Amino acid sequence: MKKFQYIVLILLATSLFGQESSWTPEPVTELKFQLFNSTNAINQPTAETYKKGNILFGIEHRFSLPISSGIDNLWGLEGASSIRVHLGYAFTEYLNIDLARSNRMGNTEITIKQRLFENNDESFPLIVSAVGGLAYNTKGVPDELGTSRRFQPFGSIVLNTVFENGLGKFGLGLVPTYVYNTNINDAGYTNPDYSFTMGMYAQYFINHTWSVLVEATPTVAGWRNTYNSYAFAVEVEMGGHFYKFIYGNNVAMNIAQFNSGSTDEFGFKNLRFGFQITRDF
Amino acid sequence: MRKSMILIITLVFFSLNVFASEFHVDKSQKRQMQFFSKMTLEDFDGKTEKIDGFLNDNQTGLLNSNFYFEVDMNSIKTYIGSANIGLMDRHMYDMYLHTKKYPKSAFKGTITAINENDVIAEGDFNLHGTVKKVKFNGTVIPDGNNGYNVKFKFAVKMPDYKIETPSYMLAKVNEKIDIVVEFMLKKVK
Repeated sequence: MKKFQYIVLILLATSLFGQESSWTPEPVTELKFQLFNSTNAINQPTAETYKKGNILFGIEHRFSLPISSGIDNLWGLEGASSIRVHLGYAFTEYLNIDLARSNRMGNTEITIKQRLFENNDESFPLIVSAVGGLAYNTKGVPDELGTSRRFQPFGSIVLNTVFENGLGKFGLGLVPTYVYNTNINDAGYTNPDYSFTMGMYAQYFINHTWSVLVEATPTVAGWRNTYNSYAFAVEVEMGGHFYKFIYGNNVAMNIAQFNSGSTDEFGFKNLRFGFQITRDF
Repeated sequence: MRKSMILIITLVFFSLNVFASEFHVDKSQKRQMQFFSKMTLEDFDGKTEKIDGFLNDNQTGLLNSNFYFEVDMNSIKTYIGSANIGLMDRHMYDMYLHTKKYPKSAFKGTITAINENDVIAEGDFNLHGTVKKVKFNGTVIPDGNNGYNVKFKFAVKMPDYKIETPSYMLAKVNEKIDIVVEFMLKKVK
């Protein structure tokens, strides 16, 4: 009997002493699923959106003289340049609104990007976003075309994926884009044209700071400004900034303008230098 | 038989009394982990409210109490001067703290010395998947409402925890960072 009592006693005491804390940990904060780091590749958007409440500011140039103009023009740097400034705000983690202005035709555009879908699966990671907006041109549109021809609505679907192997991380993007009223320089075009492009890009991340990009924007239907656009760039991600050093055959930057095509064929003779700096606050 | 019953009752009573009172971090009160580091021109700081944990005292005082706290690393926001930059937060999570792999940092140990409100806690500190034996100085002050006001200050060297020292615009952050954790503990049983 005594033995039994002692056993009960020991079990009871042990169970009380050994009782686990009733504390339970808080769940870990989930980070937003992200494939690319920047909100755009070179000219084409990525499916990424920036952080809720943040402001994104960016400035970029494309020099009009080609680098083939040589040292006399400091490889194009002494020529005129197209300038674009933009300012955006993230209303939610997945909805950004961006206002951009380019000195090229006085083009002002407002753009909304909304993430639509994500597949956070290592076998096939995917993010899909929709981009839509409206551009308004204050310069270069013949008066006889009327005020309505100054407006250019556009829309894109952006698909992004990445894959990693022993060689590193590669990101891929596909951006079908529709722009209405693309040919706005020529008074002879009384009916508005459209352009349907299939933007595509690839980014190879050398490390956390350096990456390289290539981008192609072929027009697959509708009007095109003579040539398709191609570009390549080096991206440096540092201290909350993205710096991109760009070579391409198109000096336009706003979405409606860029997706309308280039006046120059892609090749060394027509390569223009440009840069882009973005930072979110 | 009578002796045995008295012994049982005494021991049960004793064990119930010895059984620790339990205190949890009060999430309705201010709780914060902050770190501070120097750069050439500016300060590099970070903070989060998502610190949680508990203390089990043994009703003979805080000495030898079990003490645990943890920090949700994905919730830390960084500041250069007074500016929080979302992209820098992301860099810190992905490139330096690797929060996908190590989402929490935690201290688990005991209060090993008390001098009025000053205490020393000794135990294991787990940061970036590296566990080190540490000794932290702090204060644990009764709040007059069966709880405690807890504050600890300590420093860590990032290389000790295999954390690459970050840089900002080519300026390296000092590898030693000062950390302050503070929270209220409320009695739960």
